Amino acid sequence: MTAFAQQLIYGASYGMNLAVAAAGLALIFGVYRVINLAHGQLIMLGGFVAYVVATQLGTHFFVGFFAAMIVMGLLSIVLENAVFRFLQRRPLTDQLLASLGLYMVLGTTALRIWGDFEARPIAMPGEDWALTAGELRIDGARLVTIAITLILFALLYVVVYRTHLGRTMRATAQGEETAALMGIKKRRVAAIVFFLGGALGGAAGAMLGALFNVRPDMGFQPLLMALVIIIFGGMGSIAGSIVAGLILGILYNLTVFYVGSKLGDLVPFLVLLAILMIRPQGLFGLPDRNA
Amino acid sequence: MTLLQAPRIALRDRGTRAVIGWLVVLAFLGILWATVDNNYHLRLLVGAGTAMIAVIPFGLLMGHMGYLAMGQGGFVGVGAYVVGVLTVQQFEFDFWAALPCAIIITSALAYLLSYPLFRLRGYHFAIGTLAVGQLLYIMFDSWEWFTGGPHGTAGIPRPALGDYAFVTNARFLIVVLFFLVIAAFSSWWLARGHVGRAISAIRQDEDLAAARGLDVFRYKQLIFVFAAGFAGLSGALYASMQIAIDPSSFTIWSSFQYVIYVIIGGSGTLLGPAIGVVFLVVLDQFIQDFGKWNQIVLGGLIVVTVLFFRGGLWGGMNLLWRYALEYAGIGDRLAQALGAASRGR
Repeated sequence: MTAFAQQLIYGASYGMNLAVAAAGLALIFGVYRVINLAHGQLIMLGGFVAYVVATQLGTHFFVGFFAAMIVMGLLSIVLENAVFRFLQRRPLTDQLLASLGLYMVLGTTALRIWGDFEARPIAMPGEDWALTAGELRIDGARLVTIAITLILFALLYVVVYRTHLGRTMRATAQGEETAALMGIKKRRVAAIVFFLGGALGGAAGAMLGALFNVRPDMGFQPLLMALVIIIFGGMGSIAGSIVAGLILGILYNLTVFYVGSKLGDLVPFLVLLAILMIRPQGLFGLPDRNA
Repeated sequence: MTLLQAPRIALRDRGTRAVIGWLVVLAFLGILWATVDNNYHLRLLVGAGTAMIAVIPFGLLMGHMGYLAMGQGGFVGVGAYVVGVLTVQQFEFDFWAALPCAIIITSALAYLLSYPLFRLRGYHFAIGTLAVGQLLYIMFDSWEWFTGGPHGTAGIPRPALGDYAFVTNARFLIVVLFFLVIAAFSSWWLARGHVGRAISAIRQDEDLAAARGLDVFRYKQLIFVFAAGFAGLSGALYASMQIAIDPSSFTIWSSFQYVIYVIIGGSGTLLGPAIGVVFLVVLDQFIQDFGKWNQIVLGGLIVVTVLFFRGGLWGGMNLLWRYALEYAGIGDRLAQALGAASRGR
């Protein structure tokens, strides 16, 4: 029972991390209608920025964390200006392929710089203590990540639903042309959305890097998971990504713990296929939206 | 004038143009087969031909029909593993007996999967097929007693006809070319008839096509099964070419590879994907010198192609051909006719 509770909480912390990554994808898709496969590499690069700033420069974890968010947000704006701007009205094959190309470019660049596969840890507050209740023992770091993700989601909620900025984003999501006619600056909304999306990816990368070490190939699994999560939660729905991320993270951890890690890798895809069959629009998606 | 008119009519007919194009390709491959005696180059040719067998039918699905399937590597893997399991791992079938089994099993799998998958469209379909591809990969990797697991299966035989064994790469290339002709011809035959029109209509506006009475699902299923069947065939030949197979050849990246061939070569054409294979195999030889930077070259190439050269290489060639004709001053009408023919693929 204690093992179960422990896996539940570890799964939740992993799931929350994935949900942060997925929320970035969902935000960009919801407003901008593009799926950015390069998001996986933003997660990975976020981890490396946090590693360079926090570990190599010897600053605090949170300095590295915010550096990762800001740098990845800016990189994401650069990608939008250089590539995605031209793809908005293109067929989805073009969008997926161009972002796949970016994925390869970013991934190989990182592999060239940090390609020696040595373990790169990031020290995280909470690593040296644990919460114990009877048999149950939970790493402080896990609790810290859960706290960080909750704060991030609260901030995201405030930005999207309680500010003028968020209103312009939601208006653009509902109808880009109408929003533009109402005086909303399309390019500015795009820049903000990509900044937020990239920053969320960077934050996820910094946390995943702190929990599991930073590696040049660490963006791949979170990307696949995030893709599953945004479909599971409903394309473009941020609340959906949170719920779906939690469910998926917990299911994943429980399967890895009780059945084995190889079958754990199967879980997201089985979940995905089940969701696509039963409810293609996802948990919070609107029916009949052929995205 | 009459001299110019005759080829114009001939060249305007898409069928004739395609036949000429394929004859040129075959002649080219024949010359290569006769002249290349370097075993390494032969090996590259066999690999390229094997890839083309999967890519050309896949081009129908992705380019003509507009359904981006990101799990094709999984089907190739099923074909390869059926041969591996039947000839070595579990049974001792002859290669010629295992080959049809590979095709039938992949087609049947695609047939079953088409029911759930074609409830999806667009992004959902792409990610759904990605999931199928990844599921298959994990299955090859973890179903250890059946597939050999991460170590794979070794000792897959090369085929033989009577006493003539296709053991060397030069001989095996004959087998590959034979099936390549079948793959190319059947794709061409499908694309030029009512099926080609139907799937083109599905790409342009599926709802409209369905509303006009087209049985959209049947056509989608047909093309999906067709592409998967040839992916299985390609996998079977791949297994025999490689002698040994392991799961690392059938990851998501291998699936992406097929998509990249199509997009670089020219989406929505039949020759385009084949050209994409040739181009990337050749390019790979040149950028190997860059070591691991080659993925950057490839990734950058994909981005640039998608952004600026939507027709891919084949589209670019047609464009150049048109400009060349106009530049040569052969006459606007001829240039236009050729242009229309090349745009109409």
